[in-house]
Amino acid sequence: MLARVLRMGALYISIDDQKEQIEGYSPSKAEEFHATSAKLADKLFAQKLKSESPKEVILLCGGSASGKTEFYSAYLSHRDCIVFDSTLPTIEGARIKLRAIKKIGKKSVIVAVLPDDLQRSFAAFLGRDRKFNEKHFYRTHAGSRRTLLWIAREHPGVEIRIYESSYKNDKLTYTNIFFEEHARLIAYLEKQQYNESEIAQLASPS
Amino acid sequence: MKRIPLPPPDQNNPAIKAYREAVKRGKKIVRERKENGERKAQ
Repeated sequence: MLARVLRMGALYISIDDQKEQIEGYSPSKAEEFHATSAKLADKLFAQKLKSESPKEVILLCGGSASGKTEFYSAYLSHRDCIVFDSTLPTIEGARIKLRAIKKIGKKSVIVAVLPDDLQRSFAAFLGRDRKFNEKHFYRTHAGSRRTLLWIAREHPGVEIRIYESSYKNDKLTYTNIFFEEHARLIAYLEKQQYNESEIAQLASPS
Repeated sequence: MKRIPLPPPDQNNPAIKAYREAVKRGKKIVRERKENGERKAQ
């Protein structure tokens, strides 16, 4: 007799969680282990797409320390879906994932978290246990915005949900930025584009 | 465009609590860097 295991809540895959599985890892060495853990997470994601039943696949998107994982823990963890938690920093990475999700007949949803204040996001990045070079922050914030705009333009059928994270009075909160027309979403995302130098300046004004 | 606030999350949720602590530590790092930078300039 087959035993049926009921999974409660989302099937969550994250690059950061994969780091914990690698021998020799410690948070102070997060950058050193990042590429390997990203590959492990991608492999696990590909496996779970095929083996797991949820039809909805959420790709989180947003620069480092935007509040993505926190958003997942507060609002998505109970859902019957697969969640891939990464910054989605490259168009090619997004292309591969969207294609794989479509091929298997599941539905892609992009959940993007954009911080209302890059200085606050940068402070969270500097203060967390996982240590990365500052270029990682600039690259992921610039790259995830670029990827988001590409998805909106090239994959208009893919649902994109934008959430702005805020931090006031020591509280982390979120606001859904909702667009009734896709063209307005694209116009908004076009205004959110910054290169790495601009992100560096916004995060740490001189 | 509509801005729709979500119900505030539990601030003691472990992930959110860790984030809040990271922001506090990070702001201290930024402050110290600025003070060190100002000291060097003098």
